[in-house]
Amino acid sequence: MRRWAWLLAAPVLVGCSQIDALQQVSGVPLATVEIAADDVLLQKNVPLLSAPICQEGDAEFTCTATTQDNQQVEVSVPDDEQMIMTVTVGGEEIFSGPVQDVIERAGERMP
Amino acid sequence: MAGLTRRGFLAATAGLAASLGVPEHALAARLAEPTKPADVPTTLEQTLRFTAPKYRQYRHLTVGSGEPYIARYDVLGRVASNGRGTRRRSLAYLGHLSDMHIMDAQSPARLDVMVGQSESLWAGAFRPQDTLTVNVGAAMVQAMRAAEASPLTGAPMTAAFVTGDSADMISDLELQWYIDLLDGVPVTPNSGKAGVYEGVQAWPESDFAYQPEDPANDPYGAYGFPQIPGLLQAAVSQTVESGGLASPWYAVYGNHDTTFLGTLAIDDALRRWAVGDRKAAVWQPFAANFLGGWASNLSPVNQFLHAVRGNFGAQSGIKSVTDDPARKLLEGTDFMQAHLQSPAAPGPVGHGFTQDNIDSGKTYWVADLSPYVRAFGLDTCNQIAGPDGAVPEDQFNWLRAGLEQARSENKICVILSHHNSTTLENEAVPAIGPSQRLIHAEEFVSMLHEFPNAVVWINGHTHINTIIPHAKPGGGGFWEVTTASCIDFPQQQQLIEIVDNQDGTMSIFTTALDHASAADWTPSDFSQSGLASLSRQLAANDWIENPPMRMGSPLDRNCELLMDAPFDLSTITDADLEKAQMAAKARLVAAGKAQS
Repeated sequence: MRRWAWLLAAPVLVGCSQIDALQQVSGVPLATVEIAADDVLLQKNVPLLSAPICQEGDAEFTCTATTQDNQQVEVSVPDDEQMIMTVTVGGEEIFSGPVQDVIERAGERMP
Repeated sequence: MAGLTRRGFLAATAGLAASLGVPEHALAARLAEPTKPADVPTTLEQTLRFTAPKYRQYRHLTVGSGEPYIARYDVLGRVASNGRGTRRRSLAYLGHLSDMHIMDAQSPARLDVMVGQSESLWAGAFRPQDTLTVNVGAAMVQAMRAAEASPLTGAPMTAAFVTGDSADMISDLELQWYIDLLDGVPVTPNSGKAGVYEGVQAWPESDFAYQPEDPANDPYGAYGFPQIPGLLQAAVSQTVESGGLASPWYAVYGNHDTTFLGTLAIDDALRRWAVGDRKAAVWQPFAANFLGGWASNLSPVNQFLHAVRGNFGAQSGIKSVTDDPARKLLEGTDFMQAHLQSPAAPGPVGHGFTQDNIDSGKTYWVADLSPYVRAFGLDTCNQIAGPDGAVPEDQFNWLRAGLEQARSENKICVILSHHNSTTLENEAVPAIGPSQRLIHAEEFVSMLHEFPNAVVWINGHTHINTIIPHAKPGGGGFWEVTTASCIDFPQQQQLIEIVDNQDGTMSIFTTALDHASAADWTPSDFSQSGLASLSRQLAANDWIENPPMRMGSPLDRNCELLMDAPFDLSTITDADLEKAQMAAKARLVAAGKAQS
């Protein structure tokens, strides 16, 4: 994979199908949110029937999941620099914090 | 269900011994050994984790606890009953390699300088571990070979898959290195001048690159990357030994096996540049010629090469290197031809591709892995432009017809491609000449939903461990499994096993696999596995790639993925399974590489 977002900045190329295709590999920000949502739910020992499925909207990422006792899990992350993720289970907030902090903590060895 | 009779066992053993050329009595003894979960070094036993300090500083890796399988019910739609663990029958045990990105880091066609323009936008144009990909490839093959018997059931590996981006720069040399690693042929990862590294990591003016001899003036040194005198010399002068895979392996195209930088179509000028004696060392002259002309021409590479021919030889920032015809870029059917020329063992000849592919130009294939498991190898790469993929309509129709036939024959189907469902959105079509409709993710998934026997879609591309459930509305569906890469952290690949739970459900077990090297690099360890360990440590600190994110979550690594059985799996008798496993185990024995 490669990052090619800089090519999109060249306005003279707009409208050419070949050049339209020169862009970043898709889905990385969405995957990052999904991974962080998984990590939070696992760390909180939430038993899942279906894991978070995320979507990217105009201004935020949202995810939904279902617990084994049929409670709704909802995740929202504003698409901004801070990317503060909020996770609720059955309407109750169980986590709020930066996506990247969750990712980093999950990669570290537990003491 | 009845297993093989003694007479059946002896007859099957005799046949296998004769076909494989191994002594019958020795083979019989091995095949008679009870099948039990193998003691295999995987992430079930131990994982690799970051140590302190806090991120945004250079960190080391250490051993963490193993990760047990997590049951996932997303596709099944209900929590499965207990007890299935005692009834499991292995239907297929598979190795999955992807995005090995075997690289000739010294090639003029490796345009590392792009990262000098913007490290975030050009991530991947240069990585600090670029010279060590062959070491990592060999260490991963070693890990895969050590896992020839399943850690879950003990079943022998049915086959291994390589889902694309095997060579980084569509280079003939890189392609051969990757094939040699999998076939067990030694590789010396050097081109140009023998035993001497010529490239951006040794040129002081290339201050965008990690300079291991003295990183004081580059961004990697500022981040805390270590000074490692002698690294480049060691990387290009040592021959890397590989034991090769013992199981049959199959390959599909990746975008880096199709287009330049995995993105751009190639022209003759670039082909000449790749085998020439000029390499860009700094960004500015490159940008002045490349980008300056690019806006007026739809072929940026052609513009770049035109500028190179006219000006670069006389400019600072373009260095002389030793030319090497072995660096030639692939064309036409070279990729498939190279697989057909690979040795017959471990095989199969062509690794999925056949002479018909060469004759017809079709770049996709179908193969039976056993009497009841069929694999479809797709080419989702776009030959025009863009890193992401799509499925051309003729291939889509071919797959649909193949799945229909497989359904009528009660075959379990495995779909292989480079791109996954999050990256199957490329819309580039030829500006001139014939084209056909491109199928994207939504339509592709919808088609697979028509076929309950299409149980798993295995792919790569994103370099992130990812598991996606594709539950079908109303019940059913399939699982999509994406592995991380050998180039970016965590440098993991995976094991996949399909089992019959004998209760109307089946499970797909996924196991993340680290390559066979130390968790943390010991300074001055320039051994073959030491360099693989160093590569992973450097990748773990390549902040541009967000390394910990690429591990995925635990729900993307060691998992049991449950689903309803696609048909009555009791039609696959124990005797059928025993015969197929005997054949697979006999292949391992014949290769002299079976696990005891």
